[in-house]
Amino acid sequence: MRKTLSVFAVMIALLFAACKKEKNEPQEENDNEEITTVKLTFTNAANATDVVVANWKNLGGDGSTPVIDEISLKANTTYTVTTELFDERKNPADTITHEIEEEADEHRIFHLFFLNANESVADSLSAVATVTPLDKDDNNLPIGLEITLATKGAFTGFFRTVVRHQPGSKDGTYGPGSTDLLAEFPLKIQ
Amino acid sequence: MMIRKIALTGALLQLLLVASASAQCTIRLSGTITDTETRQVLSGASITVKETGQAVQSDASGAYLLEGLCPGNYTVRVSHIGCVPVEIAWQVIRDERRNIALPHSITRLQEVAVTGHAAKEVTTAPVETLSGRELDKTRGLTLGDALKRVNGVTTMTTGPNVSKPVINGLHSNRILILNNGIRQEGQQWGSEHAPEVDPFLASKLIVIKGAGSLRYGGDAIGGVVLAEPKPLPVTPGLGGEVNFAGFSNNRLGAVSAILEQQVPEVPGLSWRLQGTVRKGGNTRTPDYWLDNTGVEELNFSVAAGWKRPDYGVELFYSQFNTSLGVFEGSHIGNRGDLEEVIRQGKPRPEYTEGFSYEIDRPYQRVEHELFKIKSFLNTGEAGRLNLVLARQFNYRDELDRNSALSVNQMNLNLTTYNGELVWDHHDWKGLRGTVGATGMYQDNSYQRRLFVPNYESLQWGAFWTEKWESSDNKWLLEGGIRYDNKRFYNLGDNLGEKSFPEQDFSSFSGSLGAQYRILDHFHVSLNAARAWRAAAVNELYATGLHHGAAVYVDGDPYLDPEIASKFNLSLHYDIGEKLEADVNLYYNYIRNFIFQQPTDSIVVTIRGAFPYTYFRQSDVSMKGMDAQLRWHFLPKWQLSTKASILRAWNETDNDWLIAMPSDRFEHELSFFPGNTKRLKENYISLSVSNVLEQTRTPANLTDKSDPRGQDLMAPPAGYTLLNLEAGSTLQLGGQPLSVIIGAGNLLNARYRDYMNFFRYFADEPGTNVYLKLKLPLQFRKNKS
Repeated sequence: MRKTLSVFAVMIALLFAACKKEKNEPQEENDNEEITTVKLTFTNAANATDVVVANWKNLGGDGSTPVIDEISLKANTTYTVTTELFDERKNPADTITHEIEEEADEHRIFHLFFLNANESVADSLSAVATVTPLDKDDNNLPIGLEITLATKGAFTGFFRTVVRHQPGSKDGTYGPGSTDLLAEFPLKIQ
Repeated sequence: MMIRKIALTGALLQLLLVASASAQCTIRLSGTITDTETRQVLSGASITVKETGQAVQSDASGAYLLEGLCPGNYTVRVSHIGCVPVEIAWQVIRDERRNIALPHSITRLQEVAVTGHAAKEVTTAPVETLSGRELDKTRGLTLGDALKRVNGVTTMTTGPNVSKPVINGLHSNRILILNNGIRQEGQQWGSEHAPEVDPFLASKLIVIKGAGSLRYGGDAIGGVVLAEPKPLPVTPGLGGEVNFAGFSNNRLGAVSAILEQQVPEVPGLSWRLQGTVRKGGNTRTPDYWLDNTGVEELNFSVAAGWKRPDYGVELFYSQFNTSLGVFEGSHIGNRGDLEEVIRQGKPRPEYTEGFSYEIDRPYQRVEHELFKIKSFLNTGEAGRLNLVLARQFNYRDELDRNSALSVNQMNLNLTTYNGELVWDHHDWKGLRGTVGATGMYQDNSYQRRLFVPNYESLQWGAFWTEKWESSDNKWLLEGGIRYDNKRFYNLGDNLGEKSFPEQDFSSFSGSLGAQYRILDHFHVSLNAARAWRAAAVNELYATGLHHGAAVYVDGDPYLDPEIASKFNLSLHYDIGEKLEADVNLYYNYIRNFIFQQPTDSIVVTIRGAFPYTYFRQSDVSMKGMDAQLRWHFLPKWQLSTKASILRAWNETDNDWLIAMPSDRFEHELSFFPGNTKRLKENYISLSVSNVLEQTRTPANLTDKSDPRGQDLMAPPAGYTLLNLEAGSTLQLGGQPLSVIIGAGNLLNARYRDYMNFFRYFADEPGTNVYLKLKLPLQFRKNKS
């Protein structure tokens, strides 16, 4: 009988031991990168002192109202445009643009023009300006972090920056993959 | 001497161990004893249950009544003056009416015939059970898919691997799943969070439709699902079972084994080990593969019980581990992308390339652990006291598609402690009942992305139910009352210093039911229940972007509890093997029904603009019918037909309710060729399941004529599937090997289902050929 009880006690002990003792770990800092800010810098190719900077900021996170600058450009002018991404919730602000550079063969940044906000990509306008990517990945496909943008006539509408994530399927077009980031700015060309 | 001792302890154990399978030791057996030759009723026959020593005599009309039994195997001894007593082995699961035909002048004992049937209803609420062959047919499937065999149960799915049961249109937190007697507590609020239960552990799956099951919790306004394992073995010796299931479509293989023993040297001690491995790869639709839809599952459980005549304890530990690939083309994270996929009508080619077992991001990893201690103490003749304590850990990692840019992980960690103290009282003036109290504490925490906050929750309830049956078995009345309190607190400490208000809810629930047996084979039941459910954590506190659905979700911390008034009217006609028919009509009026309302507003995020959705409440009514017929119309042929119809109406908005299953019909024609020398229990069956298009969806907010309603796309067309199945049992080295072979979606039909979230991106799976094997194992040496 004593043997029975001891066998039983061992079994219980084993069962308890088999259970996780792991407690809820203390809340970790959010170590994922979250983009809060898209910064576009437009530099007039003919005049390096003519610089337009536009920010799309959402420091409050999803659900809070973002602060979006209006972009105002000159008609019939060529600009060099750089796109930078930051996580400004971190101090100092984290530059996420590097990660796109590292994974250049998986990413492609598009700059598109629309008449109205939140329109389908299919409705993007090609007559507003000519966009030419300046950077290339290892497969000789454009990345789009640096572009030249040659405006045409006067226009009022929207300028959209889209980061497409296209692992294994990047072919230079918009279609493959998914959208990592989509920031839309009001645009005025005059 | 030794053998006899073992036999005696075995018998005792049998009683005690089976008692633990269900706390309710209130089963009654009844029927009439007749003479096989004269067909006359036998009065004064004595009926003894060997294991319990209970003895009764049949009355002047030959009727007998045994009460206060626990589920299990019994040996019933029937004797009559001038007869040699006979013994009948009797498996008792629930209330039963069985007539015994006794050869008055006994020459051959084998001629004792026990006829009759088990009363299907344990309660007056509609109950359906899957066990035996019906359950074998579902082996290898997830719990949700297995339950689809029950009429009125549908599934809500997120692709081929994640399915949750929907009972008469209600799901998630409105359905209580009891895994081995314990409330399954995972992150059940999410449509993509399937219940973490290994169906191989269960020897039967019971569905209680409706709100009447107060014993399990007042919040089960949709119903209760019980996954119950077999009782631990009571006869000495080693035994077990091996199950195998293989499916062609995603090349899924599942193996599950049970090994159990009643330790012969130690009276009262039994144990069981059980384990399941499941692995499948990408699923194929008729036209393309769905990349990254593999699944891996590894589950095991250990149980041990030790029983003495008046007390006993049982320990149970189980672990459920799974990795689920999420179809790459479904993780959208951007509204524009989602609309693009819908426009194209099929996923992009880079997501439909081919077969692989590999699981890559995005995927989910879930671990669920359950530890349970269950004990009982007999309180004299009056009843039995049961105490159950349980602890559950639920870890869930959701890994989004990997990119340098995305916030790509959510970890949820939920710990639950349950306690339950219940007293079952045996028959007292025709009343049998249960009184008890339950308590539950939960602690949830998350890491990385915020969707539901950190919280603690405390819930307790007390209930009392009684059941009365008239001595002539004509009437069954039952009723019960329950009080519940649920509280959410400690909601601070969240990302972005978001804080949420605490909440405290409490209310009464109750049910009342009656059953009248018009004829021996025909009875009618009416059940009315008032149930109550406090809003779930996501409904109260969700906040953020739902990646899969590409919508922004906002909870409302000031939601009122849902109050359901449900009425069930069921008719049941049963003449045994020949014909069985069931009709269940229900009307469920739910005040403050909580649902997710789509809107025209958008939330602008760094990933683009997303439609804003929020949880709101309406008064709704749900009425419907589940009907089924099983008819053995020719000696070897059987036809069975099921129909399930639901109308769900939003009374507040005067419109249909979104995301409700459409009407469905299933017909099955079976042929039983009869036994041959080597093959037994043979059957072949062809079934047709027909799901109609859901035409009852809420109108578009701005354009009432828009067929899409408030959805992104119009509900998919109805579909008809053809399935073929054959089964047999053959002797393999003295062990009966049961074999089932079949094919689902035989014609490789291309279709989409309204209740599948993947309807936006992809078709449902094509033809799936499967093979299921079951081999019971017996290594008993002592055949006493």
